[in-house]
Amino acid sequence: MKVEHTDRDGTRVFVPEGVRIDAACVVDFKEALRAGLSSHDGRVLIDMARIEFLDSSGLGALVAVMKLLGDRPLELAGVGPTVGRVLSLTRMDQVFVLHRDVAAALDARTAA
Amino acid sequence: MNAPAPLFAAEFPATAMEVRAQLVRVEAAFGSDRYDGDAVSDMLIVLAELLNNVVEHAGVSGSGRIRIAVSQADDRLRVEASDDGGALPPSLLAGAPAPVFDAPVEDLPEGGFGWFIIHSLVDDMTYEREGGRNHLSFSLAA
Repeated sequence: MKVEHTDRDGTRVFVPEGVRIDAACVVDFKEALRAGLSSHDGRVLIDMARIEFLDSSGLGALVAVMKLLGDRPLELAGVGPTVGRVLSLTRMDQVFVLHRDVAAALDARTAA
Repeated sequence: MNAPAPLFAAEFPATAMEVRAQLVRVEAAFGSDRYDGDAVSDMLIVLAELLNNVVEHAGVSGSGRIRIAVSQADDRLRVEASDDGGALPPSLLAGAPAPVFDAPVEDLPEGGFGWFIIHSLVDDMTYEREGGRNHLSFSLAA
């Protein structure tokens, strides 16, 4: 799985290719994020708008990515209903910082 | 006892890519106005966890075969899944601890969500070991 990223106002915005973050792609997803995070110490946002399905291995990958960020939170934009259900069941919606969409995330001056 | 004819049935190799492909097929089969969208979504979430668990833990990856069938009885969608991997620990059926979410980041769990999610969404999971296969079934109000 490819994960493109762009820097916008100091925030690195990742856009995963495809519509699922699941066991079939989770190794590639983590590796793509790890590579994409190098030499960046600002905010980190994943655009989840196109992601229709997140399973528990995908959720574990998001936690693993957050651990790479040290004190910074992992921010997620545009989480849809099925992904949101998995996040809220596991209370991980309280671990990540959620935004309605990328524009709203960039409008938020700080992560928290 | 006559089981209702399945609305969806498939047999496929126990690999992560196949699990994904079959989940997409199940979604296509049930993702219409005929069924409650939340129920279908929950069914897909639970099925994904069950099947990924088979691929990951039951020791069949690459050579094993998984069978799934989805039927409708009264107002419920009933899902049966079986695999030829090793037996599951029966304790999995009893419940699973909630993941820790309020720990320091470095202590947050990266796994162990699967059975917690399953038990959060389903309260009638059954498990039988029969004929060298694991048989799991559950249902959801549709």
